[in-house]
Amino acid sequence: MNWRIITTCLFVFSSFFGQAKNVTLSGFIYEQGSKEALIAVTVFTVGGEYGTTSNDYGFYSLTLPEGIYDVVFDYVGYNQQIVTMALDSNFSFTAYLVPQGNRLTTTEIELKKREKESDKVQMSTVDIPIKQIKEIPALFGEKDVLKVIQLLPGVQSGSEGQSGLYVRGGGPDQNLIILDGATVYNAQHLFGFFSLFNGDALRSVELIKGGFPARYGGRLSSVIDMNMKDGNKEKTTGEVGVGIISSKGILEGPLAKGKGSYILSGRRTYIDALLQPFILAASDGKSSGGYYFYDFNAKANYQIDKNNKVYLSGYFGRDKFYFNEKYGENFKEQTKTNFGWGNATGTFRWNHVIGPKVFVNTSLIYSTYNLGIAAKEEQADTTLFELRYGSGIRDYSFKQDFDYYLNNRHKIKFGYVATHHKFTPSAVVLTDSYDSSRIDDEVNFNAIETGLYVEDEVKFTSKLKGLLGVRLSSFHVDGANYINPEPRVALAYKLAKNLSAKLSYATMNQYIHLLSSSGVGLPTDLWVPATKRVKPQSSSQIAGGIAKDFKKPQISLTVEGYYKTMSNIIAYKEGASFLQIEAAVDGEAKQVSWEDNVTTGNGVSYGTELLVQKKYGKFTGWMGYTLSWTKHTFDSINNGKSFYARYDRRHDISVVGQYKINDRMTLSANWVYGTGNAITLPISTFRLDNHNLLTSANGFWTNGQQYTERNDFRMKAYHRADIGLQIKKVKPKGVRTIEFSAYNLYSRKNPFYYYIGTESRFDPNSKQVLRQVSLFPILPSISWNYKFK
Amino acid sequence: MHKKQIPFAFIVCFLLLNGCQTIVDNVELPEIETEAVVHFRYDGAINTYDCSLTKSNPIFGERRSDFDVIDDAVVSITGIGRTDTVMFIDGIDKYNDESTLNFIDGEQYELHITLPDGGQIYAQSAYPVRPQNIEVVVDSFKRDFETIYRIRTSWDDIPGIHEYYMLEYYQIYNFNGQKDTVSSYVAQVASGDDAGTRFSEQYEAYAFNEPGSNLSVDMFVVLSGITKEEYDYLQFLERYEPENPFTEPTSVPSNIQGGLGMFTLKNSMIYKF
Repeated sequence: MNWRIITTCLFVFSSFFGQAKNVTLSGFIYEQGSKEALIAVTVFTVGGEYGTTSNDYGFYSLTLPEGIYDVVFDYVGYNQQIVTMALDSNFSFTAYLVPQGNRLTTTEIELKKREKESDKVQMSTVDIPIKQIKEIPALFGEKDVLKVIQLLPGVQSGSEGQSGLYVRGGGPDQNLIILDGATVYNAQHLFGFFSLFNGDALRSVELIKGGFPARYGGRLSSVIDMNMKDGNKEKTTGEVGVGIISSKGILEGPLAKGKGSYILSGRRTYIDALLQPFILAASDGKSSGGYYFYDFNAKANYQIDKNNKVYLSGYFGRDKFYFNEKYGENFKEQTKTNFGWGNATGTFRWNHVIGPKVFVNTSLIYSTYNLGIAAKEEQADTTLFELRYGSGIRDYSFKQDFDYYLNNRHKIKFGYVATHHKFTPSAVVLTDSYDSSRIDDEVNFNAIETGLYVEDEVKFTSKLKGLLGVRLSSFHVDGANYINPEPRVALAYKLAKNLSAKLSYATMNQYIHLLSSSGVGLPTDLWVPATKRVKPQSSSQIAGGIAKDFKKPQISLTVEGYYKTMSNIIAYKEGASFLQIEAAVDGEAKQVSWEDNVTTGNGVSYGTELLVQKKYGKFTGWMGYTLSWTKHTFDSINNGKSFYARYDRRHDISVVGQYKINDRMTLSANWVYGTGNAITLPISTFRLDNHNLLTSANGFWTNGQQYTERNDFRMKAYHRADIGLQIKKVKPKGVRTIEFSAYNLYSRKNPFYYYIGTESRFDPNSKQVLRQVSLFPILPSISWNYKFK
Repeated sequence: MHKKQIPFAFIVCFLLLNGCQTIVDNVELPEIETEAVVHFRYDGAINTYDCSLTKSNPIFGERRSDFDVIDDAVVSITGIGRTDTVMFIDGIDKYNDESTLNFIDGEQYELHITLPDGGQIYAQSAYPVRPQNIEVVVDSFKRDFETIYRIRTSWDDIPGIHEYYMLEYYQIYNFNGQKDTVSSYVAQVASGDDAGTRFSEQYEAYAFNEPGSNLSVDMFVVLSGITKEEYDYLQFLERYEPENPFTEPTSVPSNIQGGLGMFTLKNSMIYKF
């Protein structure tokens, strides 16, 4: 009986998966010229019966019955390529796509069919073309990936000019930002005004807001997956750029007679160098100070043989703020203050093609983020006081990802990852010769995080497609063990030729927390692990929507609604401060751990997003609108009542457009609008009596402040327009681009923060009023770029 | 300013230097009405009521550093069938009077205040249980020009009840027979547990006594059973840093209906030596 059941199952299984006389077409897809691997290229047969997409390394595999096919390779920003193939056995084919604007060769034919939103299974996902990132006007002309992502529906920015991301009600800690497989913990320069990703060195950027594939895990709200360019395999080339606040350069070229390639890119600001003469002059040479940041990317790859390729890539970036002051007799005394933070990542990857249907990538990954503060007071050669404070996180990861193109109906991915985290919430060395004290204290946590996943992109019928998966995540720290299954489902049903309905569900767990003060967004925010006391965060998100592609004009429309619940999110307790390392507990001064300072609660976020995109033609761009609500509930905050999250934003609109006037000029503009941030406002002061027995008659009391309910007050709405014009000129040795741009075109005074001040800034006794600090008026900028041929 | 805060001060300066400031004039500010703020305390050791009654000041508008005292309200406390009305004393700007009520451990007492505009304030609280089997041991020894007092205070927590305590130490110097104000004060609060563990707290006090000076010191130990509301309030005060820009907004604990503040009852014992 048992044998009959097993045989029946095998028959059903083989008939489900099996296809008679099938052949497999596989290979890699590169850019013509540079031989950069192209990600997510759509490969399909004319008629659309069979299709697949290339993976993160440009590998594709398509299984189909033997026969003669016109196979189309299609990618946004590139000319389509169609190749007629007679397939009677497994066949390997490498495709080279020509970037748009380049002349077509005789073997390439322009087709009408284009990538359609209604064809994609995955929802809540946006691929951002690097070309568009380079054309959208930016603050000081600094092209910024994260600020472009902020222009998409469902993604909100924090404050004026900042690159923090708040995706579908989640905090900035809930975004998994990956650069070449390595997690980047603090993706910001200059307190958030610039992101640390140099757009010139990137090959692809993908944002996922919901319906997460099972291969991703560890964060609740979004995944931003970025890949660096591989470097030009044909010839050595480069690019230099000079902007208002920074300069940058790229060098790339072939290695080992074209078997490999490399790319190096770097950027540094020069605000400090520009300001230094003024600081020295203003202080008679007694003070010096400044701020700068730099970042450096490097990547190399080597093709061992047709089935093996290795990559080595890394990122290193740092911000530094410093101030030195001399004083006293003959200026023998001085204070030195340094404040720096930075990320470093390193990734080694080995791509191996096991067969025409199976591809495996093995990665060794290193990632670290650290913050350091140093203050020193010296007299002659003697140190009177020295403080060194540090915090950070360091990861080592090993992972393997398999792509198994089983047949035309099943594209399976599976793999695992193991990460060793070392958290250092605080490391303090303090030497004080005034009271002869010395503190040398370091707090460390070691943790192991693992993930095991499998997902299947399956075509149930010609109309119904799905992405089904499950991830088993675990976390082990200091005697606490957490294991959680995370089911993931995404379904797409074709209602008509260019119209589909989509539905997705995802459970996510996050085992690390970011301690962040709600009043400020600083690099001092601390990454800490889930512990026995502070449980992991988790979320469940359900989303549904429709995608429609129009032929004339060639635009796509997506409308999505989502509902997300979050549990065990953390916040500072009322009255707590991230600088509080000691507090009176039951009358005694005790060391306060971060666990004492935080409380856990729940959140809910829901809303609707509309995105209209035009990807092709002279005019490209998008319009996004989000209507959303985000609420948090903590037992010990706001008397247990629910309150709006600081970045709850009822309405968020962004309009982005680029118009190619001719081959030389591109005009771009964008406009954004967002409901004001929700803040807590003090409304009155009152007397707080100390309850001492013998001193009460002496009137011992302090001032207390009464606030609105938590985040019950709205700042003014935010809106801004930017404009840019790029002018290209082909020179004998390269292409020169000059860009003129203006940030905040109509000089809107947008709120950065509010504070209680006096009506007259020169009369401290005048009426108390609410004052607003705005950062940027209209900021025109110019940048010069030269790309060598 | 703590030296660790220096870099953050730089950041704030940076933002201010780069910022342009405006008065927010077209945003509707919250409606703010002044509220009555009550701090009413009964202390069993001296059998006295002490109540401050003031008005809160709105943040926006005229800048005020003091608070208006409400001196013509009717303040009364009721318990076990009796009511005491507490009179306002001009010299100390408070309602202050000796109690005629019988305060019994665990019994409920109610505060009623009728404000001059007819507004009503109400609060209630149970009289906390007095600490049991109290023992105060003082050792003293001289070192150079100072006398060191080592005070060990111990008492029994009551099993089965979650009690809260406040332990205060006062030093009052007498120069040539002239009493000074309180020159040293330390307070601790403690929460008991259901198991009824015995508490034991130690405190060291220092009294300087240079040769030739005519200085003496009065020392007081006050041990009180307090309510949970007062325990939370005192814990809040210990953490409270309104001037620190990096602290989270805090709602002040209050058990007053119709206003702000605290109604607290303390079951205290005083030891003087």
